[in-house]
Amino acid sequence: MKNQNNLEKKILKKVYFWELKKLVFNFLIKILLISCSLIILLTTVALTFFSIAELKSFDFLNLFQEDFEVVKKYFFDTFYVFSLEIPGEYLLIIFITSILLVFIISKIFKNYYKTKNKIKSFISFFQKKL
Amino acid sequence: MDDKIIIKKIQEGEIDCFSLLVKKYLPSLRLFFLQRVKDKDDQEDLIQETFFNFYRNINRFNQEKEIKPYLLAIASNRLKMFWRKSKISVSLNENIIDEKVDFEKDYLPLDISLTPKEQKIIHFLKEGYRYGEIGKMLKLKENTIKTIIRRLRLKIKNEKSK
Repeated sequence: MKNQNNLEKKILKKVYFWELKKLVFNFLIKILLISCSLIILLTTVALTFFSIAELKSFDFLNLFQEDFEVVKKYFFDTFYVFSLEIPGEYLLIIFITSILLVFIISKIFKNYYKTKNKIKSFISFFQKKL
Repeated sequence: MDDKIIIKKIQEGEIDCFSLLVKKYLPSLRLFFLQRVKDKDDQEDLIQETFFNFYRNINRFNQEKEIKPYLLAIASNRLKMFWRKSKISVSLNENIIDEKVDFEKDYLPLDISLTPKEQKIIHFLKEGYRYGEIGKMLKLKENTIKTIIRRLRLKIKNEKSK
């Protein structure tokens, strides 16, 4: 009986340590990915903003000071011109990093309860050990 | 608690529920390995590996299936790997071969046709060189030398039996 308990403990210890390693590794990877994509996203947004500001493309916002009829008539044309002035490469980078960020964050939310349960199990296991 | 519920809980991250499965299936796994492996430490290692493997793949486990056959399948795979690893490889002992055939005594009186390579090998053997050394001199692998000698030994035996 004592032998069986020992073996059980060994198996559980192995499982817990493996899970802990996996959890820490995943956590670090996610932190790294989120911080990298945030840095890239913010830098690209800033660069895009400055390049647009340099071209004075934001002038198209003055259109909204006009009457509603005028806005209605010229909105799509003005927006088309504005979209041509936005740097395409930057937009692509922003798009990709945003998708990556959304994907990682959604995964974190999806696994929230699972991770919470795992952490609870870790706490109870290591408390028992201590 | 039902196995399905336990599996579901483990898949949801409640690792402590795994101890219930371990408690439940440990005796049957112990019995499985007890009948097949002599050493107690090896038995315990194999049981640990089986449960650990089961846990690693638990997210892919179909809850509708029975756990015991699945565990036993893992156990038998582990056992196969264990046997493969512990297969004892016996290296060919030069002395064993030498004591069976003394080339000077056995070969010389017989009329056996030999290739130049075989003649050289016999010559070096008479000089007292080891297989590895002969191999280096003839630019052949030690195992090739062993094979040639084995064939020679068979030739001599066949010739003697005539």
